[in-house]
Amino acid sequence: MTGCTLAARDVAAGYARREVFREVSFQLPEGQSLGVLGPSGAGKTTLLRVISGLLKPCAGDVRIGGLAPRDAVRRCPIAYFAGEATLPGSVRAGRWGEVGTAGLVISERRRIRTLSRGTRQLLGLRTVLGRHPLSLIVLDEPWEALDQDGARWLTATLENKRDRGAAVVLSSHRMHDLAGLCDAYLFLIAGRARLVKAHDITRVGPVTGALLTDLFDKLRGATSLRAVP
Amino acid sequence: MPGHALRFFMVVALVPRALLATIGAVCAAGCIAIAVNANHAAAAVAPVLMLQIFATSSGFIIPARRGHYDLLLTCGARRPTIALVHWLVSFTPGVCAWGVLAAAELTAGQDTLSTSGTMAAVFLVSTVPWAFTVPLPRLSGAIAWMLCFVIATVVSGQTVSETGSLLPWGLVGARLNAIDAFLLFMVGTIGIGAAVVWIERSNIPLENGQ
Repeated sequence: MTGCTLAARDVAAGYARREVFREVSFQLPEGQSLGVLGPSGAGKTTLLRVISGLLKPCAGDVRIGGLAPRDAVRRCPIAYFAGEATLPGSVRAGRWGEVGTAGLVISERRRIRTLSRGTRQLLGLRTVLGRHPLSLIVLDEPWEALDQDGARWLTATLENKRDRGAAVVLSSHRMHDLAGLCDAYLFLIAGRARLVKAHDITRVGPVTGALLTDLFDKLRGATSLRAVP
Repeated sequence: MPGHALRFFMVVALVPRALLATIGAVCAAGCIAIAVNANHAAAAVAPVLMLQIFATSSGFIIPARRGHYDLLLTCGARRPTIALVHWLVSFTPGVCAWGVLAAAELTAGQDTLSTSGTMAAVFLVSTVPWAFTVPLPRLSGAIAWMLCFVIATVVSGQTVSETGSLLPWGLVGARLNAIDAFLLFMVGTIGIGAAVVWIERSNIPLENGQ
């Protein structure tokens, strides 16, 4: 397994004149994982596409193994998946799996659009994670729509890949998805980023969803939605 | 990597299967028409050229922004390679159909479909609609081409057959001089070059991620 350190320095990104986030900096060595957390619309998907080389940052730069992402993907195999909605619905599920991994991922002959959301999500994840070797895994809301078995499989697979040297970047807007799985957490709130190491959140035991939620609330101040009475 | 891109675009079926089947059927009918009377070659190739305009109007950026090409764009292949393979997969069905018809006509002892004009027509319908449609929704190039033809017909007050030169089959059977052939070649080549550069430089945000 070839490891590649992922580094972002003062990265800003946006669309047209709208800036989504700025001054995002972090370093992720091989064999470690980073959780990107934030409310909907905070720029998690945008950051992950910048890391994958699909978007150019407006400022700053991202390096994977010292190279710009689009050059790095030729040397450091990357698994990137942005959710089941990105799969082309007219393709047969079995053939999609084969084109991604050159092996059988799912023995399903139906078209992707006819599958359930959870099955589509699992198909997309198994297709990108089935590649060998992987240096960098970038998954956008990967637990979305998965059932218990699928979620357990995903968590075990990610831990396995990370332990074998892959750097892992995961995003979610639900704290409990990433709790305990990451070495560091990047909070994207109101266009600004705050990087917190797992051992700075708690020095005893794993990081829990409750701890992440408390930290998230503290970082964003009094802007949370209140329950309707 | 071109091999992976080729396999990918064949799996995602850039040219809809219904259109492929239609091209195949039109080609078969054309072969029969040529076998019956070789003078029908120009008429036989016209629908193939028309279908080719629709086949090559496959579009790139819109499906890419929906995330359909993420798997390919992050697998390590260079974007210009991906773009050229996309074009190749888009134009191959129509070019194959033309090749079959030209071979059938040559077998029958005529060469209308092997002239420089016919080749220029095939080249134009295989390049310009693809290049035009790269940043636009599927079929935009074909619709724009048809729109230009209709407007030209209405504005000029001519009949459809008189403004046929705007459609590719106006060139079928013609023997072009070197300058005309070069100019038509440059139109297609510049179009392809511009489209490849567009794809290479494009940001590909996710539509539902903005």
